Amino acid sequence: MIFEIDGVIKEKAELQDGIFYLSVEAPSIAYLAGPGQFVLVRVSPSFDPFLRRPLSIAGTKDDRIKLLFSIVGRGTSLLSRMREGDVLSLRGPLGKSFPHPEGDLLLVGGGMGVAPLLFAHQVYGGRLVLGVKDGSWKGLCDWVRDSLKGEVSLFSEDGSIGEKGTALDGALYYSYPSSEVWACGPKEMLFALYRALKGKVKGIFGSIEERMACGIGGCYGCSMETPRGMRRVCVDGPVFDLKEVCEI
Amino acid sequence: MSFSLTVGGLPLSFPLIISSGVWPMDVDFWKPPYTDGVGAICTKGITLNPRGGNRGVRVWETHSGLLNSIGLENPGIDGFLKDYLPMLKGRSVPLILNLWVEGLEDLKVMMDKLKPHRDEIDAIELNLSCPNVGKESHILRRRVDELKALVGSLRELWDRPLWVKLSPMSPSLIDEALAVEEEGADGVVIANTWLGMAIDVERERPVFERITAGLSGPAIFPLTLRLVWEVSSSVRIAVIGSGGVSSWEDAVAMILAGAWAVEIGSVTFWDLKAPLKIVKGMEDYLRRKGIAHYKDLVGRAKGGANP
Repeated sequence: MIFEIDGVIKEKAELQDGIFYLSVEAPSIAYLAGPGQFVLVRVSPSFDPFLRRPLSIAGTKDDRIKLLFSIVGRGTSLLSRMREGDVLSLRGPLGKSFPHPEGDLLLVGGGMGVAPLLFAHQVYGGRLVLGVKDGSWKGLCDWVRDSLKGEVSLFSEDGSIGEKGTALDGALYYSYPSSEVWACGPKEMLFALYRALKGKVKGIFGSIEERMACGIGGCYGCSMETPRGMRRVCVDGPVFDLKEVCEI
Repeated sequence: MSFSLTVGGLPLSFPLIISSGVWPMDVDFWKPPYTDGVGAICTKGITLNPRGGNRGVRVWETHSGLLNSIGLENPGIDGFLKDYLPMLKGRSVPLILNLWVEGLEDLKVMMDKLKPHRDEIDAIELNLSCPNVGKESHILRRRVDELKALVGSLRELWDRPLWVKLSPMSPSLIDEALAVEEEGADGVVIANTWLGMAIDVERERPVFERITAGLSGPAIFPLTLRLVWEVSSSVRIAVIGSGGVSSWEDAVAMILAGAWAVEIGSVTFWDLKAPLKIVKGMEDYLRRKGIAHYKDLVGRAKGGANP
C-alpha cells in the first residue's frame, strides 16, 4: 500500500551548512517502511516547483520517519525553510527495501548516501563506513557517529575527518568473505565498489538515485538501462543487486 | 447530482480520465482508493514491438510543469496482452488502450492481435501525437490524408469506442479533428504535450538527447483550453480535453469551453488524490449553481443552447 498523507514536522536540525535532518510524524508510512524505501516530498503548497523530491527514509521511530537532505536546488532550498509544526505532504513508502541480509552487514555510504543506510543499521545493525570529501562534512559525520554509538568508521578524502581515503577504501578495509555490502552514493561510486568487491564478499546491493516524477512506476521517467533491460528505479529499485545492474 | 455520461461511446461514472503515460499498469492502482473520482484510465502508449524508450534525461522540471522525453517505453502489444491485460481484468474502471502505430501495416498487425481481446478493452485511444518518438517533426508534417487513412482503417477493424488523440503542435488541428470525425471516430482528444526544450546551463548543452521534449502540467492549461474551445466549435463528436488540468476550476473551465470529459496526467505526480478532489470541487460547484448534471456545462461558456 502506498499512502499520500500530510505529515507534521516534529523536529528539524541543521547538521551542517546546507544539510538538514527532519523527523516527521507520518504513522502509516512509518509503520510500513523498510530500509531502502523512500518518500516523495512535496516542497511547496503551490504548483511551483511542481515535482515532489525523492528522499530516502533514514529511519523510523514509533509514528515518525526520519529524513536527511542537502540543499541542491530550489526544491530542497524551500524544504529547508520549513519549520517544526509545518505540514509536509508525503507519498510513500515507495520502492523496494534491501533484502534480508545473508552475511555480516557492511554499510557503505558516500556523503548523503548515508541516509538509507542509517535505517538499515537501525533494523539490522552492522558496521557503517561513511566517506566524505573534506572537513566541511563534520556536522553530518558527528551526527552519524553519535546516532550509531561506535559502529561507524569515517573516511575523508583530505584526511581531516577519520581516516584519509574514500568510502570505497573503507569498504575494502572492512570487508570479508562473509560480508554482505549495502551501499548508497553516486552511481560511479556504486559501480567502482562493485568492481572492487565482486567475488570477494557474499553480495553487493546498492541504492540508486535517479530523477523521477511519479514514484509509483507509471511514468517511466526514472528508467535505467541495465544489461538485463530497462529498470525503473522507483519500483524495480531503488535497491538493486549490483550484479544485475553492473554485470554484462 | 450526477456525473454519469457516455462520452465518445464510453460510459463514464466521472468525467475525469487518467491520461496515458502517468499511471502504473499494476492492477492495485486500478482499484479504490486510487480510482476514487476516476472515470477511466488510459494505458501507457502501446506499440507493435517492445520499446526501451529514450536515452539520457527523461524528466526535467519547469515552472509549474515538466518536460518529458520518455519515448514510449512499453512492453509491446504481445507483452501487454500477456503480462498486463490479464491482471487488469481485476480493475474497477474502464480501460482505454492507448495505441501508437508507425503506419497502416503496424495497425493491421496490432488489431489482429487485439481481436480476441475485444471485450476486455473498453476503448482505444489512437495516439497520433507523441512528440518524443520518430522523426523530430513528424507531427508537424503529417498530412491530413495520412491521418484519415489510419483512422479509417482502425474504424473498420474496431467496433468499440474509438478516440483519436491529436497534437497541439499540429499546424491544422481543426482539419485533423474534422478528418477524425469524418472517418467515424467517437471522440477526439485535445491534446497532448507541447513541444519544448531545456538547456543545462552548466553543461552548456540541451538537457534532452533528442533536444526537444513534451511540456505538461499546470503551465500549459490556458494553451490547451484555447484548442478545446476551437475544436469543439468545429466538430460534433465528443471532445475530450487533455492538457494541464490540475484543479476542479480547470476541469470546469475546460468543460465550459466544450469538452465532454477531461484527461488529467501530470497533476497526479503532485497529488495522487487529484481526481477525487477535482470531482468534489465540481460537485460543490454544481450544487452552488443548482445544476443537476455536469453535461449542462458542456460548451456553456460559448453562450447559446446547450448541447
